[in-house]
Amino acid sequence: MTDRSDIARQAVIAAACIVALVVGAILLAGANPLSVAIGIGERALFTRSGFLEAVLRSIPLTILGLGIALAFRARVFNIGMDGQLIAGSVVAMALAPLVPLDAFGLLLLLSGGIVGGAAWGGIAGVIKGRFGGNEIIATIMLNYVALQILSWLVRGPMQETMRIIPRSDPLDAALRLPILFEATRIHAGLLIALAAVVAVAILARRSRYGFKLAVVGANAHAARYAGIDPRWIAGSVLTLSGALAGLAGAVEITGIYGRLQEGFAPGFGITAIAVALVARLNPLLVPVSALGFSLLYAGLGTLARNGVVPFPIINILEGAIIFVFLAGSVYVAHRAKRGQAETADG
Amino acid sequence: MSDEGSVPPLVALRGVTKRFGAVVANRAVDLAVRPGEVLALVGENGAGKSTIVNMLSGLLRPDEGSILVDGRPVSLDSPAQSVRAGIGVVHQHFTLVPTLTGLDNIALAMPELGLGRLNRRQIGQAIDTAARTLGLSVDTTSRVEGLDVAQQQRIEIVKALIHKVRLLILDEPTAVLGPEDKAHLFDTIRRLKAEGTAVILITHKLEDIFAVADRAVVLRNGEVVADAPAAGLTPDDVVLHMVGSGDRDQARAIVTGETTLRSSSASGTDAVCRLADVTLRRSNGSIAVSGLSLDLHGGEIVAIAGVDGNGQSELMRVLAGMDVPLGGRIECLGRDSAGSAWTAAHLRRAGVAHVPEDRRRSGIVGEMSLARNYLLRHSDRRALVRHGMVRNSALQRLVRERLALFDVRTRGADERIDQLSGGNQQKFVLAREMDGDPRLILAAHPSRGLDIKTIRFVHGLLEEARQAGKAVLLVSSDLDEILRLADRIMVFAAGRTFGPTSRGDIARDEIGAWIAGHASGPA
Amino acid sequence: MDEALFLSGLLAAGIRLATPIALAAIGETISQRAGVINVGIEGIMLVGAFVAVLVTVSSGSPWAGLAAAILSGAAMGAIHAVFTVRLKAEQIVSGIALLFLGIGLSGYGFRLTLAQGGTAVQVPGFRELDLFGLAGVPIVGPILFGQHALIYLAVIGAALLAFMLSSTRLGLMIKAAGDYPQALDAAGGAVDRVRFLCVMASGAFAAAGGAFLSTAQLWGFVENMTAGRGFLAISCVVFARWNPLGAIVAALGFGIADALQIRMQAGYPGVPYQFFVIAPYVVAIVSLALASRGSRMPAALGTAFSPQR
Repeated sequence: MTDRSDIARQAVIAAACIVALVVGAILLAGANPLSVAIGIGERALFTRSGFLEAVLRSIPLTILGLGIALAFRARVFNIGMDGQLIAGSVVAMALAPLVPLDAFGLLLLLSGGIVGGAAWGGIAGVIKGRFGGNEIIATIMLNYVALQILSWLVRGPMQETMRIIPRSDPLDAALRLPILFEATRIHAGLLIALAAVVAVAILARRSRYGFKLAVVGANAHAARYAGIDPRWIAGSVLTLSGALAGLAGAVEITGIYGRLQEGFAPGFGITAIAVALVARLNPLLVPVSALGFSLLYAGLGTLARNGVVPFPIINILEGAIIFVFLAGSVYVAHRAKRGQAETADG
Repeated sequence: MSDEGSVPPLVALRGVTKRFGAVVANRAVDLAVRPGEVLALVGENGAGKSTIVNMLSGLLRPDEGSILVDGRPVSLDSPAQSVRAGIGVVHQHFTLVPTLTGLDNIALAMPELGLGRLNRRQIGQAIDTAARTLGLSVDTTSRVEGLDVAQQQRIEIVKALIHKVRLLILDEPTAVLGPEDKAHLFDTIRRLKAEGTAVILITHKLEDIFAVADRAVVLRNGEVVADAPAAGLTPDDVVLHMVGSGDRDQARAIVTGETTLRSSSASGTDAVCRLADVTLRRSNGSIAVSGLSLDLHGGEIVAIAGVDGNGQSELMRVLAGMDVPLGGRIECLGRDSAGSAWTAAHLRRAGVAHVPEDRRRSGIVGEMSLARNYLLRHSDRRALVRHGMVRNSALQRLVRERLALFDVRTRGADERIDQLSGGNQQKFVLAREMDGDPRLILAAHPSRGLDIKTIRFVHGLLEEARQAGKAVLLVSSDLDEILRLADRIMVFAAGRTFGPTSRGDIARDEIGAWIAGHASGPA
Repeated sequence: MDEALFLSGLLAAGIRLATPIALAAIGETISQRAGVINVGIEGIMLVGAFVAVLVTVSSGSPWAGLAAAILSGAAMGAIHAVFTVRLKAEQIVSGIALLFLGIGLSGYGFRLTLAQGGTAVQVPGFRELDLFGLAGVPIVGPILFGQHALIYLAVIGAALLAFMLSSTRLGLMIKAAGDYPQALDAAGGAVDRVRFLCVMASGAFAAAGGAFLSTAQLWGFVENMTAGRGFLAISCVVFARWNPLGAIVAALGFGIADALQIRMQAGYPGVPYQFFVIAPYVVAIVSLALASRGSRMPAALGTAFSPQR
């Protein structure tokens, strides 16, 4: 029998062990953890290019993190945002030759991205909502399928006219998101991301749908008795988070790359899980968390390029951060419960 | 205090206190049981009976005081230590793995078998031996989930007695049994007593005390308020001890099932709900009830009596729109069970309110506020949700008003509902369900686990609902509650249905016979 | 005869390709039967794959590599167990963190060690056995007698596990921990200890699957080389309805689908190869839709156990 305070203590020990693991890994690479930490901070916060790179990266991470936050609130685990992002960018790109070359055309591309992502997420939604299949497996499998289809498209039907590099022709400049600040790459996607934050925050915290998501996440059984169908919620929220992923893909294409290619937004969908979890699934905290992770990436990227620590340290850190946050929430929960009166009926 | 002195107590509690945070569950409890003695431990829900059981079974440790076995203090830190001390427990909520057979469940409780290969034949023989000495017949080869409550209880008893048990604790064993199974149980208890085994029988039913117990200990608010030979007690004494002074008449009315208020049955009005030749299926696929026909009218309370597990839960599930009947047809408030609109959402909108039997699992979301839990059932109301957006201030106002009206003790509409006591949670659920002018109220065990005052309140609400012309379907295993409230009574037993019949046309013992599955009377 | 040779080759290759998935699926079955989902086995497989190659190269023995991989997998499993069983944290989230950690640790370690040499290192990996000298027998020989030792061990492991679950008291304890832990607790069994050990075992099996991938199926480590096999393994558990022998049959299905798509790539050069590569994943998605209905998972799967008050 474990005492409550005992669990709180074990949470602290577990978190300490995870931190020690990260420090040990850095030491193994012959680097000094302290100087690595300082290096990340210097590069990310005190160099212009590092900070701008982080802001740029935080745009898709914010949009994706919002999608994760929505789905996870209903305890629907969408691990397939990478595939949904690809689906969105493919549809956006496929629309490019068909739309007028103006702001309306750009809007159509972005909408196409939303629809594409929603459709890809919707497949998982149908598997979960209609057939009761596990959404984690479905979304992961759909990731691999999307990756392969993208690989085929940029070597086949959507390949550039020159047919040399596996990538598409560039978008017309009129279909690119405008740059917000001169001499930077910060594009209007930043505004889209912030608008998405507001919209998702209202949806999650003020709307009936958001309420239903939370009910299903907290007690699916009670939800059913109240006339809320958890399967419908799961299906719809997978579609919705897919739509956000698709939007993120279209924003990346129209904001940064201007064309379809392989390996853009690498693993962002998975990183977005860490972003959303650290933001405690609160849409308003998602952009903060996304910027934090982006700063980490920017700083670590430089250190990795300079050969200080191998790049996969970033994945170790992501895992470690989630573990430490889990331990933190366990600690808080059990500290809070201690001393509080427990009812003794039954 | 009884003090025979000659035989030393087998197991004793000395000055035992147990707290949960600020709540004192047991205060300085002294208790002793001797070999071959049947001790009835009685008290209201929440009086501290279960805490004593949990301490004796090694699930909880006392904060103060000591537990003595054969006069020596022992520390029972785990169920295993309790078993080693010779204490066997049959918990109120059975601890059987539903997907395993009875035999495997018993083997699970035999650590001495080690971790290796099971010799199922040998275990089966040991079970047979244990069962035969008690005159019990047990089904050990079927999965437990397919057995009825009485069979499961027999497996629990054999499981407890497979080890050398000197004290057997039975926690509310009669709550779920029909008269016939109850008689069998008492017979088993007498055999145990004859072999010198001590028995602690936990109950809140008076008749159990006088049927088998040698001595009764009454608990109230965690303290021992009476400890006397059963022969020297009258039912009135026990009731008085259980509820304390002051509420004497009310208390007796509730415990003895005296009826107070009755409206004339409102037949003639159109049926709110019409069940025709309905067959209901359990989640494991077996048939729970077949051939069920019943009309529910506004202005009456129809009660389903019977032992738990005979299809009552399935009926409630179906009427709540969580399931469709396997056979037959139900028409309810314009919805048809054969149609596509037989869902929880549709029925709720049509006016079905539901007070579910497992409140914490089906009725509320523990980590949400009272206001949000209110919204759970009323998110279609224009006043609370407009254009898909929740109107929080209107919701707060309404919920505060309801909380005051129903006297729910809480710090406010924003308090998490799992911070409330069980009774206040139930009052809240009733407040919520009575709102929005429902036409049919499904109430499953609405007063289970509540104290006498809250029970009165709940009964009053159901009677008010009848007065207001609503149809009420009550499921209860408490015959007293049913006799007090119902206009018409129906019994589910052994896959069959008895009745419905008017309350005035049937005697208590006749219902008892139905519950036991006897087909006398208008079946 | 040609068809028979083709089929026998397909089956032999399918078995080889199925083995990593099967080993991981056996592990996941144990853990889920005890009530704990481990969605991080993909990460554990990667760590197992990397450690196996590292130790095999430095010691010269693939068996030493396998042993080291199993130990590392059990350690990864222990991390998951600490968080889900001891701390009672959300199992899915802990599994996702484990996935990150596994991807990171394997890639990081790889770049620090094996990748430093520049050229690909020689891995003295496992070779196929020739049991009773019968591997050369046409058609059935390669399938039954010419496989890797680990494949035989996987089949034996699944059979032993099935026996353990159905016929031993330990099996009863594991099933009780996953179906109704309150019963195990009341019977004096330590729910958390049973679960902890099962999660560690799931890590060990997943890492053995990774080791097979990197020292028997392929001879070397590549970052993210598991390519979703861990998740395929989880789907095998669902398809097989939590039956260990069924899980290796489901894994075999994926293996054969994979072997078939590799052969079809060569047979139909006109069709883009990507359409063949997605075959196993599409099989998984479709069977997920078809097989999930009415499946009955351990009742307490995914929920932490806290003794009553």
